This record gives sequence, C-alpha cells and structure tokens, in this order.
Amino acid sequence: MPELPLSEPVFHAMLALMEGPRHGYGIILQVEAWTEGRIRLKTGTLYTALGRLREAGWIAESEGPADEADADERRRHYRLTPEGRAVVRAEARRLEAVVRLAQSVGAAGRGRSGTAGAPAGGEA
Amino acid sequence: VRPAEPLSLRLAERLYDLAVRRHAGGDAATAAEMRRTFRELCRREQEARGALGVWKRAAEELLDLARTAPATKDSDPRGERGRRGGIGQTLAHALRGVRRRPAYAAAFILTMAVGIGVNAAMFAVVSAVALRPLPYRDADRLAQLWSLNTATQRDGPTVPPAAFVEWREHADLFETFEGFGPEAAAALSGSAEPRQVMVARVTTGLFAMLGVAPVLGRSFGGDEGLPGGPRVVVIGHGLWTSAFGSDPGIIGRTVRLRDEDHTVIGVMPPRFAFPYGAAEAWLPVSATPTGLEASGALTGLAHLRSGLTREAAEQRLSERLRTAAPGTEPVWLPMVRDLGFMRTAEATRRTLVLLFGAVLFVLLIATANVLSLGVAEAARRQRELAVMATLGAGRGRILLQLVGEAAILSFAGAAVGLVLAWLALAGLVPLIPERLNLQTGGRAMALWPDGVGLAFAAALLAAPLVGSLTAVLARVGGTAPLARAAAGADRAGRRIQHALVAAQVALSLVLLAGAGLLMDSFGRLVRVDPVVAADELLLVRLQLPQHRYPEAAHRAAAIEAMRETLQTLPGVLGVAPTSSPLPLARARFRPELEADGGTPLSLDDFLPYHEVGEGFFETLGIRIVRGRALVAADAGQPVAVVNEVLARRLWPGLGDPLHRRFRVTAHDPWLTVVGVSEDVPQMGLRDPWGEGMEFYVPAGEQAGTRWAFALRTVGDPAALAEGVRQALWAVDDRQPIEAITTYRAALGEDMGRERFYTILLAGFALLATLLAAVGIHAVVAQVVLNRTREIGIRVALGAGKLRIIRSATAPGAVAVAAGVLLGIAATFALTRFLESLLFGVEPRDARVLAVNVLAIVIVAAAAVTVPVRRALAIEPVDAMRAE
Repeated sequence: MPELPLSEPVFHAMLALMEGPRHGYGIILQVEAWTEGRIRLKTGTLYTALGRLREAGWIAESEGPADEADADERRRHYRLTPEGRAVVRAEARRLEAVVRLAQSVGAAGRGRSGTAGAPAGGEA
Repeated sequence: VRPAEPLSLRLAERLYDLAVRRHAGGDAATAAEMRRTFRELCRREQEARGALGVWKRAAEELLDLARTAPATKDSDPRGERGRRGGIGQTLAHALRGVRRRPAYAAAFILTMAVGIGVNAAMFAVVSAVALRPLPYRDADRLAQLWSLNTATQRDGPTVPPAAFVEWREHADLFETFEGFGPEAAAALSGSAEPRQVMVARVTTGLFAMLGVAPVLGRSFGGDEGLPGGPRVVVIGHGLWTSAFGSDPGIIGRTVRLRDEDHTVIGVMPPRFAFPYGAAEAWLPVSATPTGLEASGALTGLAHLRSGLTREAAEQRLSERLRTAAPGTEPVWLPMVRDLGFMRTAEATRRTLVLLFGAVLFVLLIATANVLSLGVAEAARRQRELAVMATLGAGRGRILLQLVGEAAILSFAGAAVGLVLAWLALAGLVPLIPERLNLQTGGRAMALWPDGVGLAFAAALLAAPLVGSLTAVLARVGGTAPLARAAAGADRAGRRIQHALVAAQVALSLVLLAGAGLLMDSFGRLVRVDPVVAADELLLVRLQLPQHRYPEAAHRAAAIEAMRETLQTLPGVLGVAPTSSPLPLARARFRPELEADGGTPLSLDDFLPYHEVGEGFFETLGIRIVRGRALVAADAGQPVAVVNEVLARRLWPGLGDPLHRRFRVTAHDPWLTVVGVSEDVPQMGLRDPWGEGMEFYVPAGEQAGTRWAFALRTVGDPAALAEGVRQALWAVDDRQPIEAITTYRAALGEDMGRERFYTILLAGFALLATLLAAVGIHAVVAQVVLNRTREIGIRVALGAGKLRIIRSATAPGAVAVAAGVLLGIAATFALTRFLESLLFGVEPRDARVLAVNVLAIVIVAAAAVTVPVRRALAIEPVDAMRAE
C-alpha cells in the first residue's frame, strides 16, 4: 500500500484523475499545467506510483473518454476508484488543516492558500 | 509510415527503450505504455525547445528511471527506501571501501599514475606533431601551388607573378589564394647587437586565410606590400620576447631590417612560425600585379573548395588554361601539392608514433600490475564479499561496489598521472632536438586536450576491467560453500597473475631490447672518429647581407678581411673560410659524373662538396694522401681535391688519379684532380650522402653569401667565442653572426635525433622494467603470504631451505621463463621497425638481446628475493597462528 501521507507527485497525479479518466501523458500535462511547470512528473516515478496505486485498489484501468475517438486505442487510461476518491479527499482535508495551522502561527498568508503545497513527500 | 524524425529524438527514444525494459521488469505492456508517453513528451519538447529540450528531458527521465527502478529479486528487501541508492550513494560506499584499504589504494593509484603519466606526456607530443592537423583554418583543404614551365619542363616551388594573378581568379576552385616566400636570413639591427633573423614574405591576406591573428597590433592591409608603400613588419612572439623584452609598446616602433627602417605593426602568437618553423618576422607582399612583380615569384597557398581533391584542382585549372589559349601550350601549368615541409617529415612522424607504441607498453604493464593487485585483493576480500552476499546484497550491488572502487582508484590514478605527465612534458620538450624539425604550426605540445583525454580513457577502461575481474574471481553470487569458493578463486587468481607476469616480462623485454639496440647504435655513433681535429676547432657561421655585398668580389673581400682579423687573435693557429655550412657540406643533387679514363657514375641523391680557401685541410686536420692541397693561387681555376672514395669510384683500380679530369654533369666545367684527401665521416654519419664520395674546389670567383670559418685553436675552442664575436664586429658592426659553436658540439647537435630517441626509449624501458619488477614481487609475495602456514609446517618437518625456495618461486619462475620466450619472439617481430634508426648494429643482434634477457632475469630474481627471505624466516609457531 502506498505510504501516507501521499508524496507530492503522487497526490498531484491522483488530483489529475478527479476530473475523469486520463492516460499517463495526460496526467503529466495536467500536473505541469496546474503547477505552471513546477512539478514535472517523470515516467519512471509516475508509472511506479500508478502500479502501486492500482495494487492498493485506489485507481483502476478504464476505457478512454468517448470523445477521444481518434485516440490511439491501445492507450491505457486510469480512473480513480471510490476508495481512491476517499483517499484524495482525506488528504486534502489533512492539508487544509496543515494550512490553517500554518496561518495561525503566521507561516502562511490567508488569501493565498492556493500556493500552499503539500509537505515534501517521503518522510514518514 | 512515420515521418523522418530528428536524430536526437530517435536517439533519446532508443536510450529510453533500453532503460525501460529493465525498469518495468517483465511487464511488457507497462513498458510499451511508458515508451509511448515518453515519445509524446519528447515530441512536445522538440516542438517547444528543439533538440536541447529533448536531451534535457531525456536525461531527467533516464535518471528518474534509474532512481525508481525496482531492485532485482535477490537485492535487499527493505523496500522503497533501500532502493533509493543513486550514483552518489554507490560512490559513497565505494569511497568507504577504498579508504579501508590504504595500501592497496596507494599501490593502485601510483601504478596507474606512472603508466598514465608517461603516456599522456608522450601523447601530447605525438598528437601535436603527428596526429592533429596544422592549427590553421580548414587545414585539411589547404594546398600549396607550384608551377611547371612547359617550355623547359622544369618545375619549381613557386608561381610566377603573372600566373599567380591569373590562377587566383579561379574562385570556384580556390576559396582563398595567397602566397609566401621562403624563410630567409636577414640582419636585424638597431637593437643591442646585430642579429640574424629568419624572415618570410607573405601576401597581405595570408594570416587571415590561416585564421591566425596577431596577439598584439594588427595584420597587413591597405597599400602595404606595394612598391613605395609603407615599410612595415609583423614580428614573431619569440623575437618580441628575446629582442624586445616583450615590450607592449613595440607597436609603432621602428626597427632596422636589412638596413631599412620598418615599423612594427603586429606580434604573432607564440610558436607561430609559418611557413617552415623558423620564421621570426614577416614582410608584406600585395597580391596585385604590381606587388607580385616587385616581390618576385611566391609559393601559392590555397583553400581548395570542399570536395575538390588536389589532383582534380590541378587538372581542371590546367584544362582551362589550355582552352583559354587554344593551339598553344600555356607556359606555366599549376602543380597542386600537399603542405610538404610545413608538416613534420613523414619519417619523423612515423618514428614518433612508433615511440608512442613503445610507451603504450608501459601502460599495458601498469595495467597488468593493477589487475594483479585486483586479483590479490579479490583473494583477501572473499570473506567480506561472501558475507555481503549472505546478508542479501545482490550480485549487481556487489559488482557495482567493486567497479565503483576501481573507478575511484583509476580516476585518482589518472589525476596523479596528469600531474606526473605535466612534469614529464616539462622535462621532455626541451630535450627535443632542433634537428628533428618538428612542425606543429604553432600548436602547443600541451596535455590539454589529448593527453587529458588519453588519461581519462585509460581510467575509464581500467575501472570495469579491474572491478569485474575482482568480482569474477571472488565468485560473487556463486553458490559454492565459502571455503571451496575461496580455494577455487585462489587457483584461478594465481593462474591469471602468472599470465600477467609472463606478459609483463615479455613487454619489458621488447622495450629493453629496443632500447639496448638504440644505445648500442648510439655508442657506435659517438665513437666514430671524426678524423678532423674536432676538439680544437671552433666554427663560425654567418650570412653576408645581399644588399650590402651585391657583387661576388665584395663578398670575397669581406671574407678575406674577416679571415685576416681572426688570424691575429691570440690562441688561433689557423683560419679556414668555406662556403659549406660546416660541419655539413654543400651538395649537388642527382649528379651524373663523367671521368677521364674512368667510369661514369650517376647518383639519385646528393653529392657533397666544399668550396674552400688556402689552409683548409691543414686547419681542419684532414690529411692529403696524394698530390697537394688547394692553395690561394687555385682560386678560379678548374681544379679539385677528391676524397679516397670518390677517387676509387671514378677510377677503379687506378692507383693515382692525379691530373685526371672529371665533371659533375655535362653542364659543368671539367675539373682536374690535384690531390686526394683522406675520407672524413660526413655529418649524419649514417647513410652518408653520395655514398661517402666528396670533393673540394677552390672558393673565390663565385663567392656566395653563406660562409663558415673553421678556427684551429690552442686549448678549449669555446673559450675563444666571445673574442671572435668582438673581432668580427670590429670589422663590421652590422654583420649578424648566425652561430658560434665548437666542432664537437656541432657533431653532437647532429646526433641529437639519435640521442633523443635513445633517451626516450631507454627511459620507457627502465620504467617498464621497474613496474614489471614490482608486479613480480607482488605476485611472489602473495604466494608466500598465502602459503605461510604450509611453509611453516614444512620447516617444522625439517624441509631444507632449497626446497622451500623452490616451492615458493617455482610458479613465478615458470611465468618469467614463459615471458622471456614470448618476449624474444615479440622482439624479433618488432625491432625491425627500429632498423632505420640503427647505426652499425642489426635489429636482431643476438648479443644485445642476450644482455637484455640476462638483465630481466636478474631483475626478476631481485624482485623475488625479498618475499623468499621472508618465507625462509617463517617460524613454525607463527605460521600456525596465520589463519
């Protein structure tokens, strides 16, 4: 099972799947767009994480969206399972709490919560 | 069908393919998916940022793959955290491993350093001289233009002005077209002492064409080089340093060259000495009809259009010249030649490459030593590595550790080696004799970049070699029980070590034999009796400035005035002026000799001769065997003195050739023989010009500008040098003196080439033998160490010393013997390459080889003495504790 809290790249990858199924390349593009290039997911990291998330049952492979008719049909898409959605929400709540805490000690501004990234992943 | 993709994209995908296969384990579907994603990412980068973006992305991705790669099955099971060992961690582990074995590390680094050091130094020289093109712009397309006179069928190294102007127009053949004259001596005065400098004329665009700009001031331009234009000169860096003290204010200053004022407008970069390595200053020629007409014929230098060969350029231009004047043959036709003397002579380049081959042997021996060290290390580390494996370290991890250690040591060795190389190069370059005429076109013989590249290539090769050998010998990942694995590795290791010893001995023997041959040959050269009174002779060489002595009579008078003054100096017994650049002779090319009542004789090379005045033979100490010497009254007369070889060859079987006549070619006057002189070994000693034939004619009527005086002195001739200089300047204070040297020193100068090669090869052989000795010592020492217990038991059981010595050294002795045999075979195969350098000794001289075999056996014996003594001193009680 992936370790909690989720590392930043993994959390972002799951966020990218909240809006619907995507393939790996789509996830990378989405995350890069959101973070304005701050997080550039690499294939090694991404697919290792996707493999593990699938083993944990948080994501599943899926058909591509119907409107992607011309897409390469061999392309593998991923979607969040209900369990996966729950994990993302729980993680978001945890981060909210962290941000509130940071604000209360003056470590973060009130109006700029959007820039409050998750803590660096990996440390348990 | 996919459209053609940029190379960088395809390469990046190829690399990724290789890496991802390992990453995805057996999951081909995931690997394919990752590949697709990677390709998309790369295409996006390609569009946004081009190849650079692709490479950046690819590098990040590959690193990421390496970081996130799942460990192999037998690797440590601690999960994700444990697998995060990048290159940094591997190196950190390896560094720790190295620091635990300081003795091994020091031996490894030093051995590599010595091997790499001499190689990098030698390679710096060889690559600058023989491998790299001249450091001129597009040097590979540069060609010389000579001309052929179709009327006389004579060719020459110059292009007449009219042809020069015409050929220059063919811009579709020649991208650039400039010209230069030969290096010629000129008097530089106005500084402290009159001084002879070598000056070359160049067309004003030549420096730009070569892509070489002055370091100070500017190049030629404007109406410089036109008759009546400003008199300007560009000087060389060496002249700027030696004659003008590197004065930065030199630009704009006036110097007197050939008794005319010239303004210095530029200083060229260090070592730039176009065209033939001697030029110290350059005068401009305007590449216009008037400029060329005023300067006379120049040699053409052109960049051929790319893709055009010299032959094609020559042919096309010739055709055009013919069609331009149909019916008549054009007078001048082009000859498009290679760079010729601007490059180092082919033979010298070959010899240097040969010497580099010899120094590679030293590197091979050093590598063998390092491998041998690795083998010994494997034996010592079996236990440690076995424990690592038992604790779950994978085969890959252990291999990585060992290669990592070897890499750290190799690169440290390379780094130390470069320091040694730098020292060696500083010692080596001044040893290079001028006579070798090494041409680098101004390229420095520096370690960067070729020497450094060689050092790192050697380290890069050595690291995986040593690392994997250690791993293989230590049976990493094998399943055999520890003890058995250890015994097997020991056996395999010993076999490898003995093979390495044999190889080292063989390589050393080849070098020793080569060095032995050169030393023997050099010894013979030095012992050759010069016949002349070499130890009592001082030589003075000078050139009379043509513009001050336009007539032969002026020159003869000036020389006579100098001779009289020199004659009065205390300590001078006799003075002999000659037009020969003593101790060298002048020479006639391809003579076709005819003789009265003798045999005609033609030669394909040079026939040496001397123009001499009265007292020449007496002063130099050359005996007249028959007849008389040349006297003052002979001046202008068709008489000659021939040496014994020439007398014998022209009139074989005739006892007395006196009063017989001969001529050098049908165009020359008949000369009557008035005397026969004893043979003097000519300069060069080996392969003498004219097969040893030589003749002497009276100097006089035809007096040229080049002169030499030979002074017979009482006591040390060198002591007179300063007095001679002052005496000559008392006659003419504007006369530069080219050289003052003793005859003995001049002989040594001529042997500089031989001395240089001998010193180099002897040095390499010495190093090789030392390294081999260290290797042999290490192997025998290890045998003794491994068998301490066994030897102890034998001693306890009363075994005699001889038996113990035999058992400790027998395997090593066999290896040395095998190496000697191998070495003899290799020597026979390889020393023939030395043949052209040898004098009076055959390349397969058995005596020289025997001496060297003996030498290497003695060295090997000395190398085993220390460990054998240790074996004999083993106390049985200590031996029991050894394990």
